[in-house]
Amino acid sequence: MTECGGDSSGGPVTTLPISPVGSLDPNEKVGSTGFGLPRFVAGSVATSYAVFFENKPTATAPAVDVVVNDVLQKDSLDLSTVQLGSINFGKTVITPPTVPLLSGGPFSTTVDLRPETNLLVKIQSTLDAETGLLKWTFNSLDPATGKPPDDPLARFRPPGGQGVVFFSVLSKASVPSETAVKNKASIVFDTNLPLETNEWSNLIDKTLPQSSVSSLAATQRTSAFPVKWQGTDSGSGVGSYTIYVADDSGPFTTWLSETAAIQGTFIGQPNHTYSFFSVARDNVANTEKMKTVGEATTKVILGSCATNAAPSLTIVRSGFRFSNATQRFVQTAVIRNTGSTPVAGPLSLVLDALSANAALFNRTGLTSCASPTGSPYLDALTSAGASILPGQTVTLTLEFTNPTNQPINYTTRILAGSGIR
Amino acid sequence: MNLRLLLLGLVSCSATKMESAVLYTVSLDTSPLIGHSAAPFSLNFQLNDGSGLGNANNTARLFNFSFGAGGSTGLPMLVGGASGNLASEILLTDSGFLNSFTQEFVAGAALSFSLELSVVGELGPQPDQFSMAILDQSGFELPYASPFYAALVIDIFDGSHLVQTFPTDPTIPPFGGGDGVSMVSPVVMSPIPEPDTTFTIALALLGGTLLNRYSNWQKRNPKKLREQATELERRLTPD
Repeated sequence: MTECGGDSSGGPVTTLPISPVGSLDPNEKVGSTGFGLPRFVAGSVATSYAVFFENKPTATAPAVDVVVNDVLQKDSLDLSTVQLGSINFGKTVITPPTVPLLSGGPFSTTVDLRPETNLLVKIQSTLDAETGLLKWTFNSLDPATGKPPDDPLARFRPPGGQGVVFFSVLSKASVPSETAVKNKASIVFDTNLPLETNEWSNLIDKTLPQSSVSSLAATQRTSAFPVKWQGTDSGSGVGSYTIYVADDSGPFTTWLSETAAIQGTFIGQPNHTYSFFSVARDNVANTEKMKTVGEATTKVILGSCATNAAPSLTIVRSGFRFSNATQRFVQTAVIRNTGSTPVAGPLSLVLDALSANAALFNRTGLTSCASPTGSPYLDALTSAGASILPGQTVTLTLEFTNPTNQPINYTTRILAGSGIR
Repeated sequence: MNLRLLLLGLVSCSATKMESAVLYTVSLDTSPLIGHSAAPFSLNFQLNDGSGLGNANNTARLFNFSFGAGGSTGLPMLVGGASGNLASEILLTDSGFLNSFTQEFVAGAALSFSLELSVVGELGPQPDQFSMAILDQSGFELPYASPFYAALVIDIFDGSHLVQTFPTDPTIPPFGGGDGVSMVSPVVMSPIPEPDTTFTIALALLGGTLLNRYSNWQKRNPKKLREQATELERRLTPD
C-alpha cells in the first residue's frame, strides 16, 4: 500500500489534502525568484525551475513508481532550450548531460541503491515537443529480476522520502516584454490521482533601461563639481548606473561603476574639459546600449568672473522680423561707445530675464559666473586685443527661437574682460 | 506767382515737424525674377510689435501696387493684425507680436507700391518694425545681404524712424531652386509727410482766415497788391 495524499489501494479517495502553497508543501513548484513581487526575469536568461515531491510521512508504504509531469507553455517558452538539471532523491544526486533535451534525446539512467536498499531505480526524462510535456519517470526494480520488487518495503520512495528535479528553459525571442510565464507540475505516486503543485509565475522584462547625465554649466569654477544623472525603465526598474567620463578629447573611461546613486562629485583639473554619459542597467540585468558621445560637457576654469563693461557703451535694439527661412525671429543690437576712451574686449552682450517662450538660438553660452547666471550671452568682441573706439559701433544679430510667436523681452548688460561669463 | 500756393506750401512745411505718419513710394527692379526657376514668388510684409504688449499703436497701409507686366495671384496668408490683398490694399496693425501678410505675385519688370506708415514710438527699448521681403516657391526669403532676411526694414523709434534697404546676395542660390538672384536694393522715395489731423485742421483754419483777410485787403488795395505781386515775381524769377 502506498499513500500519497490519498489511499493508493484503489479505494475511493475522499480528500486531496494539498496544503496551501508554502515551504512545507511536500509537492511544490519553485522557479526563478526574479525581481520584485512580479518576479521579473530577463528574456535573455534561462528561467530555472524545481519540482519537489514527497511521499507523505503518514503513508503506509513506499512508492514503487513516481511520475513528475510538467506541461510547458509552448507559446511563450522555447522548448528547444529545455535543459535538465540535477535529479535528487534521498542521498542520490544524478546530473544529466548539459545539453538541450530535445537535441540530446531522452535521458535515461538506472541507479543502484544497494547495499542500503536492495533496489534499482530506473529514471527516464522525456520532452514531447508537440504537447510540451516534460516528464520524469522513476521506476523501482528488483536487482534480481529486473521487475518491480515484491518486497513492499524495498521500494523507491519510503514514507517521508523527498525528491526534487530541476530544469531550465528560455523564453521565446518573440515574446513581448511583460509577458507572464506560468508553470506548474503534477506528481503521480503509483496509481494515485495526480497531485498538482502550485503555479509559479514570472514576468519577462526585455525593455532596455534609458538614462542620461543632466546638462552641466559650460564652465566650473571649482575643481570639484556635482554631476547628476537619471534613468527610467518599464519593468523591473533601473538597478544601477555606470558613469563614463572623457578628459578633453580622450576616450571615455569608467568613472563610477554599477552605482545606485544618481549623483556624484567629480574632481577635475583646471582648464580640462570633461564629457559624461551614463549607461543604466535594470534589476534583471538588461543593460542600456553603450554610448559614444557625451551627454554633458563642462570645463574647469578656475578664475574670476567677468565684470560689467564701462557705462559708456550703449545698446540700441532693432525691432523683430520673423524669417520664414530659419523660422526664427531676428533682431539686431548696436553697441556704441559714447565715451571718450576705447573700450577693450573681449565683450559679451548678455540677455537677462529673457522671455520663457524664447531662446537665443545663436548664443555663445550661458552665464555661469557673473550673476545673474543662466542668462544667454553672445560675444561681441572675442579678442582681448580688439576694442571699440569712441564713436564706433559693433552690430550683433540676435536670432531667437520662439515657437509660440509670443512677445520677446529681455534686459541687457555687457560683460567685459577675460573673466568667466 | 500764385500767392495762395505759397501760403499752402508754408502749411505743408510746418506739418513735417509734427509728423505721426509717413508716406513712401517703394520701387523695386523685379526683372531678375522673370522666368526664374524659384518662381512662384510671394511678397511678405510684416509689422511686428516691439513693446510685447500688442498695443496696436502703429499701422502700415500698402496700396497702389504695380507689378509691371506681372500681377498678384492666389489668396493672401494672414497672421495676426493683417488684412487685405495685393489687388487692392493691405493693412497691417501691430496688435500681436507677429503680424504678417504673404501673397503670391507674378514678377514683371518692376514692382512699386505706396506705404503709409504711422511712426509712433514705443516707450521700451524695442521699436516696432515694418519689413518687406520676397519669398521663393519654398516659402523662404530670397538670400538678402541683410541680417533681417529682408529687402526693406523700417524701425520705428520714439521720435524717429530708420529706413534700411538691402540687395540680394547673388552668390547664394535661392532655396527654391535656380541660380543666385541679383536684385538691387529697393528705392524708397523720400517721405512726404502727412500732417497730424488736428494740426492740419488748425492750420487749414488759420490759412483760410489769412486767405480771407488777404482777399479782403486785396479788394481794398488793388494798386498796392499789384505792386507787391510784381515785386514778388521779380524776386522769384531767376536772372
